[in-house]
Amino acid sequence: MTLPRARGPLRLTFVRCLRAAALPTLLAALAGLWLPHALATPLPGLPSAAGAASPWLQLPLFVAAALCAARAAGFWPLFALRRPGRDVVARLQRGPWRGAGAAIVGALLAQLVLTLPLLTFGARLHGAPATAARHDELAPPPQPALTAATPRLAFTPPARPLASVWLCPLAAPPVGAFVPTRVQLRLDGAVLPGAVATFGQSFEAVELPLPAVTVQRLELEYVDGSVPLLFPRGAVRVVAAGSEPQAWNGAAAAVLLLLPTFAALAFAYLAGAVAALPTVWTVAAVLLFVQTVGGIGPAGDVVLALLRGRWVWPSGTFWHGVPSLAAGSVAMIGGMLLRRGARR
Amino acid sequence: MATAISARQLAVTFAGRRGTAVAALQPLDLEIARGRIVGVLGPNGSGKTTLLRVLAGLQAPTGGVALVLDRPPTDRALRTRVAFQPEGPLPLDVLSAPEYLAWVGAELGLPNATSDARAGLWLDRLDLRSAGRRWIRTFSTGMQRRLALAAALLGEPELLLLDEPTNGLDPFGSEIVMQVLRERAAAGATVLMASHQLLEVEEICDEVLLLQDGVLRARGTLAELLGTGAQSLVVQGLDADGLRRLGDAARGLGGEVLAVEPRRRHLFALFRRFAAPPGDSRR
Repeated sequence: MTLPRARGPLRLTFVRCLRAAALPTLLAALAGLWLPHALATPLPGLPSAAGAASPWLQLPLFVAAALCAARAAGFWPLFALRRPGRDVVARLQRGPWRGAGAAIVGALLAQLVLTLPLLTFGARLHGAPATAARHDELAPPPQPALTAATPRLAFTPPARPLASVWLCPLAAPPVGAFVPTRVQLRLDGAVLPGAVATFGQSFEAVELPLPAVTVQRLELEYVDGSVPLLFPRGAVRVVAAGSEPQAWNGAAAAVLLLLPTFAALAFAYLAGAVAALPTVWTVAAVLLFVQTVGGIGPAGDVVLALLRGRWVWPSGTFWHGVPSLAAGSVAMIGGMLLRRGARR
Repeated sequence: MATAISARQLAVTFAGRRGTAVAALQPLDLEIARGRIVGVLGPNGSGKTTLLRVLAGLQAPTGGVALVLDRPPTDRALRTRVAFQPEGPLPLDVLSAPEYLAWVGAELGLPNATSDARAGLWLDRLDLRSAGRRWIRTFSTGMQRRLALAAALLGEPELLLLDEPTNGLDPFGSEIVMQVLRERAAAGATVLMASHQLLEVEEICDEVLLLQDGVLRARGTLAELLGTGAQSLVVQGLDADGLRRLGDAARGLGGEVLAVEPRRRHLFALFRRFAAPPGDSRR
């Protein structure tokens, strides 16, 4: 059986990206599985944390994204100046981006095909749990400080049974002698027995288990202590009682990880209106690197959430991808307008 | 006769360094009838490619107007009616020849079956079938030129704008290309080709435009531009005395003997004899 011949820029780029990136991604994935075991120093008595493996899972993801982006930018002539046959493509190709938009979609689809198995089956090999739970960041009140003067903060959780709540406040300098502040949890106005957390400094994270019931109002109550606590967005996170299939979580993560590549290729396309291919490749590589290894963008959060069994779609992690999507869209429009101007 | 290309005061000026302006094409008037093969001659930098790019809708003129098949060159409807073959390497050079033609066919909006059938025809005709699944970037210059022509012909365009179509081709390749262009012209297509291959232009073109520094220096049919009124008579088997007496006879009839020189065969005949494989009809 022969496959139908690829004819448009999307399918042509998809096939080329897949061919270019498949083997290196596989090798990077194998290296990512083998190296942690080869390099790890055993610490007896300590459990292994799934999130600790996230850099090793990010390695093949980065390889796949970088090679797909590089291949797409090198393959489609309208990505850069002085590419052979630009006139032929510019004349034949339809649409506002003259095929460059379709080429980007082709590259993203190739990346999706390559990363989907890594983020579903591969994540399990890196220690991700079999199921994922929804995590929701609760919107803070206008004055999110918990002190002796303002002893209660109220939050509205989503209407679903909850399994636990994570508290991770910021701590201000103590008022008087240092005494860690104790916080009591109240559900719908009633004290939850035993649900007390103590905080002495910023970024201490405490998980308090909840009865698997739906709660309309979740309150934090100051008990005692001299450390004022601040609970901005992200400081209070509830975990839903039900579980979601991790395969879908992996698929959602794979989709989210397309956004940094989209942004990198879009800015490469923008740069290509006035620059040749080496510059275009550099722009794509730098932007991809910054958005993944550099921690700007959703990549780091997504992989970490996946390995820790946190549902990424839709959640705070999901929304971290929006800036990449917005910036990439603006760059695509800018690239189109610059090329239009150059033709005049 | 219907007009394929018309231009009035068509001019292109590029911005140079330090604010200077470089006139790539000085205002020119042009009228080319349909079904003609027209050669554009001129030294490097004379404006040949610029003229073709303007007519292909890839370069906006800075002055004047041009009409191609009665439409502005940038009209998207001309995308399928006008084919442009630029000089230089082909795009998408990691495709094979059939894949490249499939892409061109798809962009021209041809049904897949039609596109594949025409592609097969031109691959055979232009001697590219042997390239198989090889990437275009591994092709010789001549093969790339032939594939570019196949792509240009795929949509059966009414106007062919060709920049150096025989550059880098071996004599067989040039012969095939010229034959194909003649056939297209006989079928009603117009061909405008820029070339440095003067002998080929002389052989194939009905008309010639001569550009220099962006100025149209001369234009006309080859007879108009080259005609001397002289005619030649080729004789064989006469010795020197016989030739002298033939010359005297010509002068007696009121003519003038301009040259007496031995006639050689063309180099192409020799090339054909040695380069064509045994049994090839071209020998």
